[in-house]
Amino acid sequence: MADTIKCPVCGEVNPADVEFCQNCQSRLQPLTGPLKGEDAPLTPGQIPTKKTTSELEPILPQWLREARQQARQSAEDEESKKEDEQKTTPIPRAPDLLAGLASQNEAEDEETPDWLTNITGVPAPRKKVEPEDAQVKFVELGHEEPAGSPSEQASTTKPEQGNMPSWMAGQAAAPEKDELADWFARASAPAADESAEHPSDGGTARVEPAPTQPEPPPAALDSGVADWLKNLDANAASASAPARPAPASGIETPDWLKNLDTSAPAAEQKPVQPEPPSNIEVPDWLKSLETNAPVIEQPPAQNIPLAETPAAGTPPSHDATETGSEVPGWIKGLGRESAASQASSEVLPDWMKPAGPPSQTPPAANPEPTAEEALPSTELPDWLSSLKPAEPPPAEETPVAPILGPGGPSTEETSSAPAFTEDSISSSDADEVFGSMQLPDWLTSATTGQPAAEENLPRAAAKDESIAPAELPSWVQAMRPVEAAVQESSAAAGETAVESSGPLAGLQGVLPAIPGAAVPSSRPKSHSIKLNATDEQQAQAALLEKILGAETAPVPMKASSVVTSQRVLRWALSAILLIVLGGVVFSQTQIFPLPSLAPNETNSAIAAVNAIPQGAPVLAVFDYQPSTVGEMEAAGLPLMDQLILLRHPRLAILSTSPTGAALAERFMSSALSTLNAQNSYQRGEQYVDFGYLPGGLTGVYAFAQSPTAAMPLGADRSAIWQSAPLQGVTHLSDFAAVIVLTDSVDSGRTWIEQTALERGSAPMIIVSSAQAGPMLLPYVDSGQVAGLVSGLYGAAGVEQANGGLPGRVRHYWDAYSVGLLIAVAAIILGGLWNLVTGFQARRTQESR
Amino acid sequence: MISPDLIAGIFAFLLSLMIFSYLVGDNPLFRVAVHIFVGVSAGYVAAVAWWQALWPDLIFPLVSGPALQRALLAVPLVLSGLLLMKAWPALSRLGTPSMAILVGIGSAVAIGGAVTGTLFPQIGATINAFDLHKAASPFEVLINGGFILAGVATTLVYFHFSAGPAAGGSVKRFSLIEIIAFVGGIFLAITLGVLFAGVYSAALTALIERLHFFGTFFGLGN
Repeated sequence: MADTIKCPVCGEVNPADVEFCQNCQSRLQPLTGPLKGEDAPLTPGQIPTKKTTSELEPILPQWLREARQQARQSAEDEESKKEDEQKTTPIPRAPDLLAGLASQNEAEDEETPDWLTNITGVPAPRKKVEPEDAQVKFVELGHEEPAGSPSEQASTTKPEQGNMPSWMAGQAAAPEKDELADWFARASAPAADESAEHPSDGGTARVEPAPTQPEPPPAALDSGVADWLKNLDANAASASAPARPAPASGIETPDWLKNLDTSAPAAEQKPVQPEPPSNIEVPDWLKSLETNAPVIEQPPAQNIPLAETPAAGTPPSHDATETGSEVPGWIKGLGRESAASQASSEVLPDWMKPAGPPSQTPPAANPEPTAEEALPSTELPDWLSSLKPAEPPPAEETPVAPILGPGGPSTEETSSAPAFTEDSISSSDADEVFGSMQLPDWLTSATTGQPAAEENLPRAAAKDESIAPAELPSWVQAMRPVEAAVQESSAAAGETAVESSGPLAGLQGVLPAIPGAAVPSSRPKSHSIKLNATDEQQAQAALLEKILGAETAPVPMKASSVVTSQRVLRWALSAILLIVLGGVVFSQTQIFPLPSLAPNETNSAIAAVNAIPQGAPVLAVFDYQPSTVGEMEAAGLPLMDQLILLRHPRLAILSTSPTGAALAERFMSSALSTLNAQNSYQRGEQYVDFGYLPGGLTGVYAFAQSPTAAMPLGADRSAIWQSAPLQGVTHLSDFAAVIVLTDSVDSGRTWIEQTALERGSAPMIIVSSAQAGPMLLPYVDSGQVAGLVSGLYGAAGVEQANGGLPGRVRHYWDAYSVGLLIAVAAIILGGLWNLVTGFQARRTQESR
Repeated sequence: MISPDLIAGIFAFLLSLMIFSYLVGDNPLFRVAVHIFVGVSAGYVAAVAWWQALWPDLIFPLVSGPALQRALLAVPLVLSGLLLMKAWPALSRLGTPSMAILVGIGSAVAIGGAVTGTLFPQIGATINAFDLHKAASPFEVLINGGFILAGVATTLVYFHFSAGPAAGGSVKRFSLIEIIAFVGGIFLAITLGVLFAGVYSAALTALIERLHFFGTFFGLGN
């Protein structure tokens, strides 16, 4: 460790154990308590010493360390990306912690203060000067200045690095950089971008940083001094002294002290606006600066940056610019603007107050109402307030024209920034103070969301009001939340502890984790998972489960076997019938004799036929379907043959079925004539065909009522009633008999019912199918029907009575008898089969 | 030379085989035969309806009949036209009067015929079953009459389903009615058996006729 220490303010070599500089009384020992065991914060007048902020890393809260780490990483990524893309102005990316703030100021392309750069350790991107018509800007500001004026030139001229204090230069040359600078720069950058993107939104009233504010001296940037401080410096110079040739600085004093020396005389020589005396204390080190500062010639005008926003009507002061370019404005503000600095200490944000002095001085009274009153109250950081001068500065000093930030922050805008609460704003004095100072661009951009009107431009800027900026790097070291946290943590170390890890890192008052607290003190009570159910309940549950299982269980398809068996049975029966009956028919066997006795109804029918007068008109109705032609012809032929043979009636055939007329014609023309050629009846001579009688039972009723009206024409559309067979027939009762050949009960009943009254004494003989015979038999028993020949069995009796003619029944009779036996056998066998299978199934069930 | 009877016999033989093929199950041959039968029947019915109903009874009188007959035939003509409207759902209501006439007249004729031709004569016949004047011996009359009367009465009672509350909350017919209904069930079973036998007999006769036709067609029979 070196035995001597060089004063960062004046450059004087002092012993290492000396706390203050022997020359300028500046503090040589840093106030960062945690670093050196000194917990006392900075006090007004104390000059913070440069300190490598990386040493504060261990005592930082976890969240801040993570933020720094993120900022460092993001900065490294951006640097690499910047190198690749060769972009002049990279778009900073705010960390997640201040993402909201970054979003507000994302568009603002503002240069990050160097002090923040030093904190974060990440070099801030340099603001790119956009070429813009200066003529317009000056017109907008109410101050017209030709292009290429000295002030403009000064604005574009970068001050030399030698204009900065050595300690600042040292900071600029500090190898270690702080990530927070870049971090905050990103937070403030969007605001600048936003203002740049919306120049029309009050852009005329708002002071655009990029075009109007002169480019900060590169030397100042390199030295780690905040650009807003540089702006303060430049503004103070431009407001206090006109441009004049600055002598070359050849004094062997620290560079920054040279600048101080050069600015001080300039302020004394040309005070632009008299500054009211102030009682604000000036830091000791600043007093020493002021008292010991030699008169130094002002630097050349080309090295003076242009004031950012000269007040309306105030000509650009190149001298002041020159002075300001050499002496930091905040230093002059410390010495001259005591009231402003006092007020500024009151409006410091809370988060900066811990870095300030323990005791705050009251705000300056009776501030001059300026346009800044309309401006929003801007909060000054506590560190700035802590830098209040211990003694009032000399009245003869030229006030430094303050320059506000772009547009000046408004009250609403301040309120929009949560970090800067209004409770720190005391009164309008603060506005005046703000008018005499320039806030950091990042701070103003962060708190400024809307451009102010032109009339709200700071008049104090024209009044050469200076502010009292504070030492940046050290207060950052000393103040920050770290110091407060350390102090608080040290004060209440025994009560609260700062969480060092986990998601609650950096928070105080967190309930400590008690070892074993999360562990159950006793063994948890074991609960049995076995269901306590009685036997009855379990039985019921089993039954329910069985029922449900039976409902969901697939049922085997037994129908297929049944269908298969039925099909086989059908095929078997069909085969048996076809084979047996075919064999019997084709073999023309006569195994089974015809019945010797005919049933009573058949005998009645035979008697009725025999009772028909010879050659009498007889109505024959053919009401059967083609499907029963075989049976009906076999059943009717014997009776009709007997009738024709014995009685030679005049036949009139009729049908209530459309197909019946054709079947009647078939019966008369083919079947009957074939079977008995002797009884060949000719149509129109022995019989007539009425054809089809429409209307169903109504037609039958109509025909019974009036045959001539219901059927005026025959099937061949001839005048059938004038034909020979129907001679003397006009009514139904005129027929000697009515013979109905039907396969349907309904048809037979219709003729029975509808003709009962109209038929008179004419007997009705029915030749029916075997399926309709049983239902028509009661009409025979009741006397409504004279006789009934039902099926082949009834025809067999008629054929027997007819002498075996025509013999068709005989041809069918063996097959018919065999068929009946097969049916009986099949029924019996089927019944027995079912009986056996039923017994077997029952035995099987009983065995199971 | 192929006679028309031979061609008709061939067609009849083929169609009969196609119908018989239904014994092995539903098949296209059976369907073709059925479709042919339905088509031929429909065509024949249409021709019969035109030539034997519409033309002689409606169209021809309207064309060549006297004026009075024409005027009278206008009524059935209009009703027939309205009845055709039943083919279109939107106009089906126009055929309602014709349907009303058909249903009304048909029901009246059927009921009148049933009452006068079936109900009264059958009731009278059942009553006269005990007429000793129609029978040679009173025993036979009593047997036949009693049997008929028992069958009719028990069968009618079988369809008497009125019942009253019984023990246990169930519904049950009176015991006497139950007994009579049971006897009526026996008569019904016999009747249904007779009907089934008649149906089988009819079908068997038709089968035999077809087999006889086959024998005749191939010269195996006469």
